[in-house]
Amino acid sequence: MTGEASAAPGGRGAGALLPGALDEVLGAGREAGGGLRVRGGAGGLVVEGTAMQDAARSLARTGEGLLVVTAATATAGAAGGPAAAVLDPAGAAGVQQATVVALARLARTATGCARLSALLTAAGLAYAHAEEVAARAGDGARDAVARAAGGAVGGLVRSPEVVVPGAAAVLAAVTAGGLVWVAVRGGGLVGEVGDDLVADLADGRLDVRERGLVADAVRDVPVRLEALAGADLAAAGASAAAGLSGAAAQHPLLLEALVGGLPVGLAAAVGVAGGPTARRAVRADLPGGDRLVWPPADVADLSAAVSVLATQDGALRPTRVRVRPAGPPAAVAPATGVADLLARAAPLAGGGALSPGGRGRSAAPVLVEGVVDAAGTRRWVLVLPPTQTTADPRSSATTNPADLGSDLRAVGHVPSAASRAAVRALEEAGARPGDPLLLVGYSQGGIVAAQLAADPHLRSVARVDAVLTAGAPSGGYDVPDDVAVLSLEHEEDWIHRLDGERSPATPGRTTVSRDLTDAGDLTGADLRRDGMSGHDLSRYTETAALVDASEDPSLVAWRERVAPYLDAEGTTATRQTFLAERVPAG
Amino acid sequence: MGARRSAAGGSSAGGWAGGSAVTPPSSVAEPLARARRTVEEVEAVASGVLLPLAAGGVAAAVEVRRAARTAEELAQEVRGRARVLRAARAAAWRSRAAELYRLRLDALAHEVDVDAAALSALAAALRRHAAQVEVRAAALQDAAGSALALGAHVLGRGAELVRAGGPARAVSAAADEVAALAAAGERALREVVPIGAASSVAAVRDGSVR
Repeated sequence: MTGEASAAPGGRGAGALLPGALDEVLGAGREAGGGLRVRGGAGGLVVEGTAMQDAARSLARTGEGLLVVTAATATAGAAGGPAAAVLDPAGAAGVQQATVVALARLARTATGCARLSALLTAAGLAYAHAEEVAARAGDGARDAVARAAGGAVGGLVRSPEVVVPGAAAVLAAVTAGGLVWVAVRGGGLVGEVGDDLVADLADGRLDVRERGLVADAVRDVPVRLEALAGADLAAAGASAAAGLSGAAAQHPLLLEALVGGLPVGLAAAVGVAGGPTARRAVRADLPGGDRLVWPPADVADLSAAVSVLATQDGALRPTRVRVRPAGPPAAVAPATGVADLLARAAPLAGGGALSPGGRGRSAAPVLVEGVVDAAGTRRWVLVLPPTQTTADPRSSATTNPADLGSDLRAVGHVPSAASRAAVRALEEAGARPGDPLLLVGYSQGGIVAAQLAADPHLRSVARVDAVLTAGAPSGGYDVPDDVAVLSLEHEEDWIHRLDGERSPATPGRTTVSRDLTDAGDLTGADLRRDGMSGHDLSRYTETAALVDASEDPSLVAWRERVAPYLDAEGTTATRQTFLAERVPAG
Repeated sequence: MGARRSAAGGSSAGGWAGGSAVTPPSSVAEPLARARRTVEEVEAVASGVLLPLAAGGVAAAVEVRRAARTAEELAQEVRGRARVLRAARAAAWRSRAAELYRLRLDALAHEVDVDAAALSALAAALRRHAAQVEVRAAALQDAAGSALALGAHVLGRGAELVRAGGPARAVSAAADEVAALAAAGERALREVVPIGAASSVAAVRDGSVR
């Protein structure tokens, strides 16, 4: 990517361009102290819109109630009748005056309630409308990117620099967030509409002509995005040859741009007349949880389709998972906060002593902590491993379930040996249906955590209460609203963009972004030297410590939600490590 | 009311004419007749106006007190609604539009509080009104009771004099005294009747006040 392109508004600082409320929806989020930016969660804009509509309903009920009170007041004021008036004419006059005053006030207030209720309803809808505008612009922009990127991606996928041994890994990496490109670039453009639009919509101050102008501005977004896509793709082509991960880290838009046209590019590369214009559509559920949707509608469909051919655990290479305890449960100190929770993934990361990186014939560790509070209630913390091996995911010699195949399958929303192993470990530890469960995962562990949280089958084992992910492409999972998800993402980390989905800014989903370059933690030289610097777990743990210190309402709410899993008076914890490995099916 | 009047009338008829075979001397007949008319008028006002008005007042006071309680309950309900409105201002609202609405909700909640105060003021006015109605209804009842007792006393005294066959002059003087007492009683009764009594008398008589 050229220097000019790096400075483009869609760069990693795109969120800064978005003013106020729309930044919440489209940008990196609101500032939350310590260089953190937060989207969604209990303090998020969607919650704010929902709260407005709740307030509107409350106001409407108040207005209706006051009307009832008004009628009752009129009746009360007439009590006693002529008999009382004859006996106490002065008192009757006083009552009449007080009645008139009360009735006039009540009627006026009831009207005020109704009026404000209507305005608040409009305001809540306006926020939703802002998101719809963004979504429509995103759809248009996605098409524009696909048009601009299709041919280029086809060429890149076929080029010798990219098609290397372990093509599935490359495909997985290329499945790297074209939609996020739209979110980042598109967010910058749509954001120009501005917070004032939301406020004006909320106040009902936009007339028909103004609304037309807004619509025109939004319609222009895809055209402008197409130009941006062309520039980014030119930079991406140059960078890809220098090394995918390093280029991705230097230019966060690289993978995203590639993926924008991936369906067309992939079809061209494998000689299939597929892509968005395919005449014959395929949609099938296959054995082993595999699924095939062609042409793919999104990155998840594409990953699922590639998984069929390129991974174990599915229809073509079915496997079983064996889970065994590495030792007896041991007493440990309960975690003290978000950073301490995430630090529990450290022994599982980077291969470690249990499973050296790059070696496929090994087992993946899974940590299960049972936390018992002073009242005797047992809760569980399940810590899932990140990718442990880069061995060929198709080979039966790759016994470690935390492999690239599980990455691809998790992004494709299909079960893997890793997800099955996690459930098995939880059962082995003694979890019972209904037991509260906190899932913690870094990188692949985060994807699997989101996958399990979204999986209704897990509810027969435990009740997922909360999820903590770091550097995980988990935004595409439809996690139930009652599960509190906290996702940590570094701007320089391209791994969390691999699913091309942005975490929704919903009440249940809180996403924390941190720009390590702005914080001085990383330099351009660092990124050029090591494209994975932004994905480093130790840096995510530092970010988690900032989360612990933040007073952002969404972060405070998430910490309160997981407080029962943390250290407190009378709370004890035991930890057991399980080792999971694939064995051939049958 | 009607029974009381019949009883009073019966007392005068039985004690004065039908209850005695003695015919009053002509010298005392006129004063006694005057006294009897006065007593009858007093009884009519007491039984026909004051007692019905007092009974209506008692019932009205109960109704007004009930209305006062209702008004206070309404005030409490409205205060509760103000609290609900304040709770509806989500603390996490951050956007400019939301801030605007927070202020409006604040103002509206204040208005609702003032509404509640207005209802409390109405409740207080109703309570004061009820108390006054109760006091005056009781006063009317007392006055009517006294008037009826006085009438009975006057008529009884006249009957005794006639029955005892006292000297005509003494009977005549006693009859004058009785008439004066009865007239004084009537004046006193009319003074008890509050402002508007004249019309209320008519209202009682035509049945528009119960």
